Amino acid sequence: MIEVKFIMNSAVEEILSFKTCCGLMRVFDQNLEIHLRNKGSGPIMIPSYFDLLGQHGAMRVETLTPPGVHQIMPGEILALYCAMDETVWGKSTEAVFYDCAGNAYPVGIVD
Amino acid sequence: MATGIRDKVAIIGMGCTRFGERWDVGAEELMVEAFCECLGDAGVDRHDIQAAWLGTCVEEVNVGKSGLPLSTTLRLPFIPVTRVENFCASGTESFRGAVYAVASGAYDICLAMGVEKLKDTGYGGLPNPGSNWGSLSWLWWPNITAPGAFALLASAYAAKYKIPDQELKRALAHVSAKSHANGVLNPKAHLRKAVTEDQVIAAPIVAHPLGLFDCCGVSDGAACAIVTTVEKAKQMGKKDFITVKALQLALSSGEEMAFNGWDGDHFMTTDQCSVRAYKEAGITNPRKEISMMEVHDCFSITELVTYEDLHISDRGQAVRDALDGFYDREGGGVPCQVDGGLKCFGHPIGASGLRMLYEMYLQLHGRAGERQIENPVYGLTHNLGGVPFMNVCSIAIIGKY
Repeated sequence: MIEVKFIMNSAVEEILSFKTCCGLMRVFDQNLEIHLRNKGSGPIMIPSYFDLLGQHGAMRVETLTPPGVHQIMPGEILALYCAMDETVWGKSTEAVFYDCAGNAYPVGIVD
Repeated sequence: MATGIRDKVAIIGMGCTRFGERWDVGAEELMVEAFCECLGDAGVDRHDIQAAWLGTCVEEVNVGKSGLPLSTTLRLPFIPVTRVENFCASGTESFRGAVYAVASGAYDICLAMGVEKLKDTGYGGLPNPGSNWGSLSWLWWPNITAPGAFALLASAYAAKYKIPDQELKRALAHVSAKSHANGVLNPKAHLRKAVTEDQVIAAPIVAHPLGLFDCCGVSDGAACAIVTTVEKAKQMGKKDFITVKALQLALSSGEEMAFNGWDGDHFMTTDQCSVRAYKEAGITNPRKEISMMEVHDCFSITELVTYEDLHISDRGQAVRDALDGFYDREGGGVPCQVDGGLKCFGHPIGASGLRMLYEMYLQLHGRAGERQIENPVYGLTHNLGGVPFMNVCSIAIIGKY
């Protein structure tokens, strides 16, 4: 089970845009921070993308930082970041994450 | 018989720039910005300054060598100006020069300036100076990174006191979240947004267990102080002024690396430097007597371990004290990083020590605005330059006269 939390206009945006440190890429405009908490009892593998549903239809957001597939241990939080048009975000109603076992995790978007 | 520095020197003025990515200005303008505030605060004229010290670290990509960048920028009229560099203690080192100069009786009024302008030099972290650190240092630590070296400190500390990884991460997250909460209240801080412990823990790892929010950034900034003797301050009609209570410096001798007695879990320099500072200041119980402090939080683990090296937390108890909120601004203990610390100010190396003193100075005068803590008596500042196994530590304690 994955619990998803969105932080729009995250405090991390200005930090990621100015700080580089030993292999950590400097990335800009990462205004949306997403926390995925593993509430289950076993590890979950999550790929770095989600589907965004709303008035605009459905779009896959694949520009998440960091990219790739991530393991989330029980109780741990994975943070993902991306640049998100606030207008699009405001018209979105649902986001769906997936794990590598084929499970979908839909979550409503609340202003 | 040496009698120490306690109550021999008064700080009559201080100034500090806003820290940040100051693309709009150069190092010269930063010095002027800090200096103008400082002059106004001290109520003296530029021509009253008889000698000055300039602290800056990476002069090759920064202001340039010698004291000339300061003397020419401030148009100081043919007075002695000395540039000093001692890693991250460079700002406090310039303060030390000015303080000792007036204490010796050689001068009445001196200036200490610290500045660093790094953000437009093309790198986000500290530069790798290569063999510019000298042949001995270069042979001993040929290829390390700062986060890597301090991550080893975190691992050694956790191993020694058998602290589970998640508990250590939570304590480190509290250290950073607490500083960011303070930085929100400081208009001169570089980063002014609050973060939660969960955000800190979930942020990308730089060198485990240190993540993005465990590491301070590089920044641009300047800070300065004007000092004089207590007698001169009284002659000038100054009342309720701040004096230097202790000023100590301790450098690694190589013992950490060359012998097995050190577990890699703490800073031998800070451990000894703080004892000398308390003795000089006449402090016998730092946990009770230190009102507030700014320590060198280049990494959150540095701050955590320093709680113990300053003999405020008992050995192995820093995690518990941090999680209990003992170092929070309103935690009822010893507020730490009241201005936001390196976490929110970044670390323009030469300026950091004086920036810390600036916050203690404001607090002691009751001029810290929303960050003001109640009736502070002693403020402590701490700088640590280098890496856990070889470093420079400076500690200053100031208070009301």
